[in-house]
Amino acid sequence: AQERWDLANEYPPNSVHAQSADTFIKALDAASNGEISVTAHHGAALGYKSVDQFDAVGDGAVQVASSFVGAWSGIDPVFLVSSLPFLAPTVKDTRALYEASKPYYEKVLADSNQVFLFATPWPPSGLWGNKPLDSMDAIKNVRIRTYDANGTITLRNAGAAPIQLSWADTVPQLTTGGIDGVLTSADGGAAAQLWEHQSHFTEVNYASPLQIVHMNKDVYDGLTDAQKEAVAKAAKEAEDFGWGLLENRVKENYAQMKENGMTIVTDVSPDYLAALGKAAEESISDWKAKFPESDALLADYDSRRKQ
Amino acid sequence: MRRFQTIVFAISRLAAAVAALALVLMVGHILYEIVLRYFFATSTFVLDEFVGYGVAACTFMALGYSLEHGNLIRVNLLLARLDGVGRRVVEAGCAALTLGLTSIFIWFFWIRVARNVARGTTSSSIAAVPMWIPEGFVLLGLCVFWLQVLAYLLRQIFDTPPPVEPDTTGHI
Amino acid sequence: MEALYPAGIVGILIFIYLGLGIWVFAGLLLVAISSLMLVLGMNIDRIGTIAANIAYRYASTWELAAIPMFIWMGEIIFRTDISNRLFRGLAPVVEHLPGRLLHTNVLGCTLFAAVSGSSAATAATVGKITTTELEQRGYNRSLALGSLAGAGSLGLLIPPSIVMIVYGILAEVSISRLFAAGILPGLLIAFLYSSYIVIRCLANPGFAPPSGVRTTFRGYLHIGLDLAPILILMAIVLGAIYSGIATPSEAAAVGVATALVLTIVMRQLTFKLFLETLMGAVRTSCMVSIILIAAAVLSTAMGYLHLPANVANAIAALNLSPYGLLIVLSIFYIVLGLFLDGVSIVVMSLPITLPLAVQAGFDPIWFGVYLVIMVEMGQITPPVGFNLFVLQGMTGVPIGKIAWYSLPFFFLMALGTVILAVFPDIALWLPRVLYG
Ligand code: NA
Ligand code: NA
Repeated sequence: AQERWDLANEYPPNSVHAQSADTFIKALDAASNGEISVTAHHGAALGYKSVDQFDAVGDGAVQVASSFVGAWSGIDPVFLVSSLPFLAPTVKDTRALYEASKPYYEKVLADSNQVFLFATPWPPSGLWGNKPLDSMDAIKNVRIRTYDANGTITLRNAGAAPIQLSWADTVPQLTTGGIDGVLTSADGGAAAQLWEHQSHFTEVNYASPLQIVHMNKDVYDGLTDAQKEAVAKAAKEAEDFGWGLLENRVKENYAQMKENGMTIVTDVSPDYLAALGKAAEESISDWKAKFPESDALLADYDSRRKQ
Repeated sequence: MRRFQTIVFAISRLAAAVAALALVLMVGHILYEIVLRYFFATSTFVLDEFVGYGVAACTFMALGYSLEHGNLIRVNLLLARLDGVGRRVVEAGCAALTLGLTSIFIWFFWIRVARNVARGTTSSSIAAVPMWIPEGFVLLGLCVFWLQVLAYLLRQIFDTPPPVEPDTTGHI
Repeated sequence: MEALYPAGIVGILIFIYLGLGIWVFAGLLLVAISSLMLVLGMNIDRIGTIAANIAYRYASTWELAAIPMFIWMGEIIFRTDISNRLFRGLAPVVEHLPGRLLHTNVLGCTLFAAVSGSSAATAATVGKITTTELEQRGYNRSLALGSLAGAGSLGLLIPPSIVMIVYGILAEVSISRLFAAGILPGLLIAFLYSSYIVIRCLANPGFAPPSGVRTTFRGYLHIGLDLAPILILMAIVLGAIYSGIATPSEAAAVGVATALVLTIVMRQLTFKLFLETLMGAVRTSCMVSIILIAAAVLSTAMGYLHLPANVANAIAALNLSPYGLLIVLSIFYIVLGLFLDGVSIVVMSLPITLPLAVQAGFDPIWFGVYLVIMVEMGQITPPVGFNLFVLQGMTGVPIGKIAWYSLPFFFLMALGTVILAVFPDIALWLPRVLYG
């Protein structure tokens, strides 16, 4: 039967996750011979934020959504794992962590009447600032805007002065010097053209949290076997696209940032990264205390990482 | 009847006092945050979250009180042309529709609050606020409003006077 | 156009519910629920889940918080000596300008727009201060309310501006440049408003009563003293924003605190007065916020109906010339503005209209300014126009009349848009100078 779905996504049409979602929609249209047509509502055009989409999909308010998992950490602690600082610094690590946590995501979503389709990473976050933030001395007392509780704890332990602001207030505060820096990806900062107020980006690969695309289980169960296969095929295609996008996107962002007069600081000293990792330990142990299966998950991650 | 009206309006005023407190706390929290950030380079880390709860509580807890003061606006095209029984019939119809609408919202907010309690949902911030608390204020405000609309409906049916005169400040 | 069939249903539902005289917020929610039922055949379970989710999301946003606080600041000014002094001080200044104190609406909104990011907060705050005063002094009601509705929407064009931040994030253009680009067009529209008031009052001298006051030298000395409180208030709030002490969203709290301190210093504040301002603010902001929340639910319903996207796609298929495109887009946005609130208009149409505009050769910064003016026009068109709601709540004048009074100012904004299209540098010059 003909299916018409809506897909909710909080992030702008040009963001990596909107592109992955669009890829999914296109692939699904092709794989289902046009039987399943999905309309994307990027930029929160339907009014939902990621945190709302967990129940919106479970309750069938929307059929499909693309959601930032960090926003769900208050629903189940497993959703925090991909945002833990300095746990998975490389793309390969990020992938291994994703593979290790996927069964847990699937289970929590299944318990809430929804189906996990695929997940893609956010570009790794780093430190935007007006000087290289490449040593513990350099970040001391620097007022940095963070986006979640982990960033706040970690940067505070590292001696910086984390400030929590809404994204809308961040640019005005940079303009007036209310804050000195921003913890976000090269991509996020480039989208807001932060180079108008910032001169350096220090690559520390703080975290590459995941974005999950999930759908309502009743809708899924109502599909024919061929349609379910089409969904799986499209999900695979979009997931590959999203992961493939990552490295190119970082290169493109760096080129664009240099063009706008920014200095990209890479290859920071291992001592600095180790010190930052130490500052992050508190948030990781906080998470372990909240999530009983953390040891099993992390052990699985370590074995996949070594493969 | 009069007793019921008085009690309901007292509940609405009590809820409005909570709304007013929420507004004062919002202002206080923002000023505190500014002082922390500007003079001490630190933050409460929960400003946008808590102020968000404040706006929701302030709006919903004040609904019944604002209704009784005539502050919730309506389009008076039809009402202005009616009086006596005709007006009361239309007024009662509007109140009944609003009562039904509010019932729907109460039911679906109840589901949200109950689920937040059962699942132990918290906010994702450093404060990890149990979500049933802020959403509970919305639910509570809706219940107070429901009672106040019921009182309004009964007044139309039994043709009794309102407990307060409508707000007329700033009439041009 | 098949896309217009659901639009027709939504339009009819709005006229039925609001015409019945139900409270506006309840009417909008009923329209949202009924249109999802009638057009998409959704069941009440799904609709209830959607509506509760969106209502809570919107009710608890940080961006909404400035509204109750600015309204409280307006209450403090209104209920104390600050507003009397403001008018006493301004009277000699505008003495020789045809229209006299009517210009306080335009001037007040332009100034207040520089601290407030929203149109509803601007209209509510300035309206609280000016409407009673202007009526008591016998000014023409149509010009007084119309200019207030029109000028209130400058809150969106003159930075800071919530709509511009939303546009900047979605279109991935610099918010700083957008803010700079809004200043001159904002002043241009304010100038058009004032010119219109002058022309109308020259033609009808009765619109602005004779002042009857001959200002003496001593009187001129008093001006400074009278205007001091409001100037100090504005200076502190603006200063807090531009020195980086407070963010634009936080400025409202600074405004409340400053107004309270000023009234304490002026020995005007009693506990009774404090409670009156607070409860007045709670009631007015409850009315404004609950309508905004209901409008958000209605916008979500429109999103489910794919209404804005379908029409925008139909426009894309027309392959118009740049100016042709601009005219058709303007009609599209004016129609959307009849039913939707500002941010929703931008969010739902932009993914389709922005690429069209860029392809046609319009600068994305310029298009942002253009879009904000379109959104502003929607604030004063019935049936869903926020400045109209705010002013009805404030004055008790029916919304239809306020809309009629606002009509000339709607056309003045349209004129401003035409000027901006012919001379795009009015928007683009300042950001170029500031940011290269
Ligand atoms: Na503004
Ligand atoms: Na409108």
